[in-house]
Amino acid sequence: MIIQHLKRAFNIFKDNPYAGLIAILGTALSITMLMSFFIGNRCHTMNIKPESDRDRTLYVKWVGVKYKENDNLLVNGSLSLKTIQACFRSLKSPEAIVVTSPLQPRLVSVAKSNERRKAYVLFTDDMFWKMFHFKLLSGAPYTREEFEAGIKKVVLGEKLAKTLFGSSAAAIGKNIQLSYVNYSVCAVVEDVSSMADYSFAQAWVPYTSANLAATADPAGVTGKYRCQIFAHSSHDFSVIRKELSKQVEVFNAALGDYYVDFYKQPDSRLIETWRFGPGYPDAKGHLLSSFVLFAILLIIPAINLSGFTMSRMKKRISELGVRRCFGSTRTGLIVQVLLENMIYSVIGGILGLFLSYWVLYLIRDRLISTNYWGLDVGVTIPVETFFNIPTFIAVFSFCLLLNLLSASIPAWRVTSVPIVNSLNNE
Amino acid sequence: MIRHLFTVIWNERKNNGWIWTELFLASICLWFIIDYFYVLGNVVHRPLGYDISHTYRIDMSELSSNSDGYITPSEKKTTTGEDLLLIMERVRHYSGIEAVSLSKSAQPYSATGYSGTMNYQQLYYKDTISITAQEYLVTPSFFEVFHNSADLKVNRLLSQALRPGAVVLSADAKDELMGISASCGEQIKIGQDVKSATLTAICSPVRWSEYFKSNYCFYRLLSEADIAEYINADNFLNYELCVRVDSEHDVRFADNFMLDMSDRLRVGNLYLMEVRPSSILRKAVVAPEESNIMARSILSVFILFNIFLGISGTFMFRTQYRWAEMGLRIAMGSSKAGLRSFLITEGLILLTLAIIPAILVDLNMGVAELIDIKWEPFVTFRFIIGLVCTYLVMSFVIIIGIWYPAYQVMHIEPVDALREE
Repeated sequence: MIIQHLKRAFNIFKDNPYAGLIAILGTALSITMLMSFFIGNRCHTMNIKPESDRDRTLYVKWVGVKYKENDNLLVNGSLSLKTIQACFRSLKSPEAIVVTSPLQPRLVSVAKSNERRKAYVLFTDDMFWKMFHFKLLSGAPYTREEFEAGIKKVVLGEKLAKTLFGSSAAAIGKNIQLSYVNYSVCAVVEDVSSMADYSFAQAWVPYTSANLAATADPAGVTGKYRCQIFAHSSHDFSVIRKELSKQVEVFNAALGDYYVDFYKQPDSRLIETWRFGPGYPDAKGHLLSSFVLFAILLIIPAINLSGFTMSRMKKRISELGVRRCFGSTRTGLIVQVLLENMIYSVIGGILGLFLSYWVLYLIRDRLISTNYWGLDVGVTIPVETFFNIPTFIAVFSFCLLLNLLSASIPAWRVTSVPIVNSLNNE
Repeated sequence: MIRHLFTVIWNERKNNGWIWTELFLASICLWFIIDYFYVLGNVVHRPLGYDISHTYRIDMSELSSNSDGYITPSEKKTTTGEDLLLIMERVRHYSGIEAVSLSKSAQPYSATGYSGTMNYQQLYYKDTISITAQEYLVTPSFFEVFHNSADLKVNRLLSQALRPGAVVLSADAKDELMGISASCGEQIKIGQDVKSATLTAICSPVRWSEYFKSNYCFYRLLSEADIAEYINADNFLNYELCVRVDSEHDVRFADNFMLDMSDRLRVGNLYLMEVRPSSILRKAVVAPEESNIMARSILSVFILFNIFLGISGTFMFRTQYRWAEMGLRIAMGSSKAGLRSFLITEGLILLTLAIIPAILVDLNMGVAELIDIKWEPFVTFRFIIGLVCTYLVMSFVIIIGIWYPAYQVMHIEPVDALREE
């Protein structure tokens, strides 16, 4: 049956290759746009190694300190350890809390070598290594005890370890200087894509070892840190938020003249990508504009393609008439027409998917996360953002949708011609 | 012929209405796109007011209190500014260095809306006229690093003109503030504390990047005394240490410099962090605009192709629909070439009919400033260029769209076509 459909579709294509080619190209272009948009948005929220649990993670990166008296703002900023301890570390419902301080450049040097290079360093706690799934190449990351003692140990990325010491195994136990502070290498991990913006770095150290300058507000609320809450599953988000609001109430009561405003954080990953500064991200606006753009990208080509489908169908009116004479139902014919047309859509869809990879490569600077603001971090797109099952499902659904939109009206019109007329080819 | 075509179009008005609507909407979209790219092309090719080739930014950083060799504030004898002056002196002696400059919020691509480190000042002339202009605080060598003009002599003159109490104004700011006839030597006043300064030179207008119009700006001297006195550990990151390298030495310069100078540039609590070519700074600043342009280009290709798809599809359908009519025309003596030109002229007339109301819509969009006017005002010439290009591109798309169906029709046997009736 399917082979028959394929044969028929091929014959129709031979009959009018120009129209067929244009139809395929039109579909391909539409799919290119849709998929670029789809993947471009999804790569910010999908699970990317080592951030394999983004779907069950909540994010907090901003806090505002306000006056209780009149709600005026005192200061906005990242979080202090005191705030994190009081509001987040003490939560019972989540699986774990990970605290990091954003990327900073450091000058990396090795004794007896004049060669020095800049590297981006991330300041983390010990839970970081449990909750993010790095591929460990040698050694072991710092433990809780080492973290709490503020021991100067560093985990290197593979590339940096290789340029400094030749291989990842040779690096273990060696000393390096980060901006003239001594650290010993305790582990080497596989390099991470900059798309994983909460774990990307070239070297990782315990934040307790770094003596990061504290920004001081009178309440001690703002600091240099941000916090990720790992729930057991995304169903727990509401439970965590409820527990958090209680903690915040207690915290505020102890703050005297001030209170903290987390601006509706913790955020799910999707909202987090829209939150650039303090304040409330416009989630509704983002969703609406995405939806409108999406609809335009789908409907305009569909309308234009239906002209082509119609002109191809016209020629086959008599054939369809014959089939109806021999007892084909109308539904059967419509399904047949749609199926045949689906072959064009699928070919166009596959072409479009590959074109969309190219487009994404061209616009890769747009994919960089706002968390790198002001740093010259290059974009590396991991292969898993391109080749994964949801992407393939999306391509197929877009093809199906486009096919239904562009072929169902012509199919309906062609099959509604009275049999006698269609046999006469009128 | 034309009159006859109008009659044919009018007779087929039910079908043509659809195509007319499509052409109408498409030409508005296309005009919008063409206008954007025309203005973009114009703005990119204007002079920038600097030249970043062979220039580098030298990033210094400060040791933290737990670093090796950290000098505590009580032991430290020199100011951070004095350390910086020593560093500049050492850099100047490195081989291949043509010029070294220190500046505040002045380095090309660094004092822009993207970095948020611009300084603006109010300038007053004869107490009545004032403008707001961007302030660039630079050492005299700045003009020799970033070549305000392509003429090296001019740059040297600008350097010499930057004396204490002097101000170098950009040409556009000077014209706006003092009029075209004013010349060097006149006094202007700067800022709220109203410091008086002498205009000693006029430089070319400076733009933030290729994608911005020039901004009124002026240069003032950053003297060695000021550097030594005012630069400290808290503010030294606001200052830009930049060098120009001669073209012979500009091979692996950053790597060599890091290797050779890291130890020599450890002065006070400062150390050399990185040497970056200006092109890296440029990339960060133009990336948002360039990816915006890329996205617009891709969207334009999409729209153009869809216009083509729509027109070509509809014409194909129409010509099939009018199969018999075409057969009749051939039977009545139309030549094949004549038939093709008949179809194409018909398409072009439809386009003209659609574009006339579209012009009105375009004009309204322009007047209402719905188009890009950050680069160029909406003037007649820009409008006409946009319209002519739109018409040409649309005609091209229509001709391509009609060509194949017309080609098919040309090969009908009149008997076949007529028999269908």
